[in-house]
Amino acid sequence: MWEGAKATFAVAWVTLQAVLVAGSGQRPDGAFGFRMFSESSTIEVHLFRDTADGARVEVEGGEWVAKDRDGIPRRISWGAHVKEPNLTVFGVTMHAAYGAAAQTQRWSAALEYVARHIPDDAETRALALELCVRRNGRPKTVTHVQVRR
Amino acid sequence: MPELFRRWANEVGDAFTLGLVRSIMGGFLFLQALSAAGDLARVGYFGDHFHLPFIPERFVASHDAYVVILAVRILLAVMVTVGHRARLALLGSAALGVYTLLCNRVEFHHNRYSLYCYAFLIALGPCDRAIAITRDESPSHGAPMWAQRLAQLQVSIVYLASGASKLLDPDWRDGLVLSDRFARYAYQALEKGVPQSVVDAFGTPAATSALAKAAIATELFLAIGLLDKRTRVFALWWGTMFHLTIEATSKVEIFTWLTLTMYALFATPDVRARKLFFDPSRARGRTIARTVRLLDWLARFDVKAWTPDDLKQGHSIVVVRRDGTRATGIRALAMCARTLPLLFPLWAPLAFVASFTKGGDASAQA
Repeated sequence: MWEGAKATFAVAWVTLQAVLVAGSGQRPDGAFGFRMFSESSTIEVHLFRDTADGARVEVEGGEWVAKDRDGIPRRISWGAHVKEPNLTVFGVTMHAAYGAAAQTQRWSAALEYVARHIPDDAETRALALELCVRRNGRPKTVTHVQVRR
Repeated sequence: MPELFRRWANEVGDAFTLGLVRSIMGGFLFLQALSAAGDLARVGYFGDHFHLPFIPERFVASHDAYVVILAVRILLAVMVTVGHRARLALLGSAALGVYTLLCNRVEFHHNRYSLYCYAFLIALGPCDRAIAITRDESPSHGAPMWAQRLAQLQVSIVYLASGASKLLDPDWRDGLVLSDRFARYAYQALEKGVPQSVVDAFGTPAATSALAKAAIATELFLAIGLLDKRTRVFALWWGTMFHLTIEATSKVEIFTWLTLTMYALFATPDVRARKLFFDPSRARGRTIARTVRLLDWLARFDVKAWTPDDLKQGHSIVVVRRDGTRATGIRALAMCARTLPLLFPLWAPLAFVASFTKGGDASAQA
C-alpha cells in the first residue's frame, strides 16, 4: 500500500513541477519556472503627472507638491507607497531583475497602486510612466503606461 | 508496479546525510525568516505598501498574522536546525515560506522557492534520525530513501528547467544575454584586477556565444548526470565549480550554498564505509588523519591508526575503499578530496594526476 502511495505522490509532485515550469512562460517574472539569469536587460523609468490644466509634468525624484481638496499644498511621495528599492528609482538605468517583462508588470502595478493611494492630491488627473527598456543589449524600446484618477 | 518504482519505494540507507542537510537547511530557513523580520522592522508590513500577491488580496496575511507567521518561521527554523520535531518543523517552514511568497510576488526569488521545495521533500524522509536533539528512536541506518531520491530529482528538475528555458531562448543560445552582461559588468572584473586583454577576449561575440552554449550544456548535463551513478561524481564536481563561479561573479542570495548542500544528498547513503589508516609515528600521517576527521562532514571514513607493518611501510596513509581495494599516495589524497566537501574542488585535478600513477594503488585487497 505504501509503495503505491509513494509512487502516486512522486508522480503528482513531478507533474505539479512540470505544470509550473511549463506555465512559467506565461508569467512575466517566470515565477516557479526556475529560469535563472533569464535575461540581461535594463530599465530606466520616468514618472509624469497630468495636472488639472492639461499639462504633463515630469516628476523628479518621485516627489511632487500638489494641493488637496482644501487648496492646501501637500508633499506627495512615490516612495511613501512603494518600498521595493528596484521600483523607487527614477531617471537612472538599472538592471531589470527577473527580466524586462517582470519589471514592466511591477512598475505598472506600482503606478496603479500609487494612483489609488494619494487622496491628498486633488490636482493630478493622471499618473504616467515612461519605461525605457533595453532587452539583452538590443536597442531601447519605450513603453508608456498611464493611470487616470 | 514497474520494478524501478518498487526499488525506489523500498530502498533503504543511512539517514545521517539527510539529517545533516536538514540541519543546514534550518540555517537557511532561519536566515530567510530573519531577513524578512528585518524588512518588517526597517520598512514595515508589506501590506501597508505596494505589493503584488499571487493570491486574492483577501487571503494575504494581515499585519498581525504576518508578525505571528514570521515569529513562527524563526522558531520552526531553530527547531529544524537543532532537530526537535524536525520533520514537522520543516513541513511548517516550507508551507509558511511558500505562503509568504504567494502574498507578495515582488519578494519571489527562485532560490527561496527552491529552498521551500527542498524543505518540503526532505521533511517526508527520516531526516530526524541523525543530528537531532530529540531523535526518532529508529536507527539512522536502514532508513527509507524515497524522499531523498525525490529531493535529488527536484535538483535535476531545477537544472532541466533552467537549461531548457535558455536553450529555447535564441538570445541565450546565441550569447546575447551573456554578451550584454559582460559589457555592463566588465568594469567590475577590471576593478578586481582581471587584465583588460582577458576581459576583451571574453567579451567577443564568439566567446560569449561559446560560453552560453557551455552554460546551457552544463545545466542540461547536470540534470541527467547527477542521477546516473556513472557520471555522478564528475557531475557533482562540475556543478560545484559552476556554482562557485556563479557565486564569485553574481549575487544569488543563498542559491549557491543551498545547491551545494543539496549535492550532499547525492552521496551514497552509508557512513564510515571507507577506512583511512594512518601511521601515528609520522607527523604527516597524524596531520592528514586529523584533517580528515575534521572535514569528514558526511562521515565517509573510519579513521584508524595502524601499527606500521611491511605492507604499509613507507606510507603515511592508506585508504581502503568500499570494495576493499587500497589507495595510497596521490590516489589516497584524491579519494579524500572526493569525499570531503571542503576539498571536493580539488578532486578532479588530483584524480587526473593520479590517473597517470601506478605506484599510488596498493594492489592487495584489504
